[in-house]
Amino acid sequence: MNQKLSRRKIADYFAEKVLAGDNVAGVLKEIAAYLIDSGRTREIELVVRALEDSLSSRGTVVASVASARPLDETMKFELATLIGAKTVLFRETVDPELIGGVLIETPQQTLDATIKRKLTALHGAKI
Amino acid sequence: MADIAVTELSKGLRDAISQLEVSGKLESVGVVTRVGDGVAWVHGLKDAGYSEVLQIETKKGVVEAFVLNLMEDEIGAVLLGSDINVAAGDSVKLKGEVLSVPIGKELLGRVVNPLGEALDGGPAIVTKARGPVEREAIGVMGRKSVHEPLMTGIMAIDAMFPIGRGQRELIIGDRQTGKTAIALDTMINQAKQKTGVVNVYVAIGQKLSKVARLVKRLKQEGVMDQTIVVATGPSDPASLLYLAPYSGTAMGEYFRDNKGHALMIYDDLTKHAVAYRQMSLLLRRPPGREAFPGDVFYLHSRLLERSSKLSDDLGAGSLTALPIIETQAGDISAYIPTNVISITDGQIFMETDLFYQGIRPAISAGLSVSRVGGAAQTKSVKSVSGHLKLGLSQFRELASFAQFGSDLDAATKHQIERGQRLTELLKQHQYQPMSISEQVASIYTVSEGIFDGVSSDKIKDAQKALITRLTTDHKKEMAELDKGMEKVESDSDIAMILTKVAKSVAKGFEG
Repeated sequence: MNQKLSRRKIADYFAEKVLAGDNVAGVLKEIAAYLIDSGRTREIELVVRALEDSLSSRGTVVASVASARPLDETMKFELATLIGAKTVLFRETVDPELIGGVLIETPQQTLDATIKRKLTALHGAKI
Repeated sequence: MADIAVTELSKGLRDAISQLEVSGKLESVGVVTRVGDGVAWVHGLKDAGYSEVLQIETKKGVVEAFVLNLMEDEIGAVLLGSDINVAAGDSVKLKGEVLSVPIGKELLGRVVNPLGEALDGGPAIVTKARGPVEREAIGVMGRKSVHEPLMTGIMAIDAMFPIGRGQRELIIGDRQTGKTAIALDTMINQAKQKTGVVNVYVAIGQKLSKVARLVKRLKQEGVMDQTIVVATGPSDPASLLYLAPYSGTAMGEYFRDNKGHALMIYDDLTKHAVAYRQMSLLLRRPPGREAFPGDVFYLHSRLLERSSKLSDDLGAGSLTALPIIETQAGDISAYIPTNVISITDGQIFMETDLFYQGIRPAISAGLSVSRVGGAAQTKSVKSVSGHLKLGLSQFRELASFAQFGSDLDAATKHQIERGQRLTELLKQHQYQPMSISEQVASIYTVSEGIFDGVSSDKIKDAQKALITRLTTDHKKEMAELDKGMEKVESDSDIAMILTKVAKSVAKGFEG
């Protein structure tokens, strides 16, 4: 196979296999083998992003959520509704420096509703 | 202490708070994966459109870029500022708009960069309107054929290669042959003859010392009040050099669309093509001839197509363009020169040899042409300059034969002498554009043979004396002639006056 596959194609292949119920580790192994074979191991970071993008466009979103305090189930439900995907998987971090609010990062979108950002913006606006 | 208006204070605070409110919606965001040489590669932002502005959030503030490559995996964007602070991993947002610049009368008299920011140390530029940098050219029905003259004030051009409003006339030649001088004189003439034409001078990668000198001269001549200078220097990012002519045109189009007339000078498009080549190669687009990308023709054709004479329905405004191209050793068959020659409605070719022979402006009569300007030439100039170009060409031919022997018949000798006088007459100092009446009087007297008794080295003095005499003794007739509507034929009143005055002037210079 001489033709270079785009990262998007690799990611689409991964998403289809995983959503069809294939073993995640097995598909990842396949992709890893391809990347080593075609000498593209340096692209790992970008491939991971592409994988997340592809999954999210098929309704499975991996969302990183940072907040000052741990989230409860009601909050998570509300966030999932806001993100609006079929399945939302949370990757939570707690950072007291945010003071309050949440910072949501999905593969293609972001929402910074933290108090820290507001204060920084207020400071920047010099009012 | 100044009074503080409490109502305004509360309004200000409310505005600030409303700006800080979170929309509650997720925003599209991408990430910089690679950056260097003024180009950033961005992952994500699948909604991005071509030429859309991106905002890269760096640790030291926001840097803007615009999208030029939309690919399967990533976006190639060209930075509008320095790439020093941009790092891989920085988040990128869509601004939701294509590039635009401030447009309007507020820009007159200012020196700006291609983003419309002041470079002259004056106050920040605030305009009521903004215009897109890339805009589609006016269509067929919105146009009218070129029919009004745009006087350059340079006799050789106005007589032999007339330029009309809405025309695109290329100024082409080697370095140091007076290309910018022609453009500058044309700008000065717009102020001197009070034509009301707004000048937009676009410096693309020009030495800033040269731009400073030019601005100083424009101020000195009183032209700056109706001029906008869009300046980019050699140290600016290639993206700004690339944008300069488009944003300058957007500024000029404002006047065209508001029933005014604008003159664009692109100095020079060779450097523009080189800047675009740099960007294209860095964006990994395949190189073609001379490593220019495949769309280098479109680069200039879409720019120059925006010059136009609008129809009466659209206000009859015009945008004239004088692009400049620098050739290497007079080679007009190189890639970029041939492209631009084929796009424009004619060219004024400057020759190094002529320049060093002292024939300045060094316009080559043989290689220069104006394809549509004839229809726009003023009647009076047309009536006296009909045979000028042919006469000069014949003279050049005869003169080259005459080099081989001195035994010439009287007719040939006569023709050569008149040619010499004409060549001498068409010499013109820089910053001294001539009015229509001055041009008509000069050409008429020489081509009718009234100055035949004056030797060619005294022609300029005789011309000066003639013009002084006419402007003092026949002010009214000269003012009438300046309107350019009158044909100068041998039996007309004006021709008789010219003949009479010229004859008496010639006596003083004969022998």
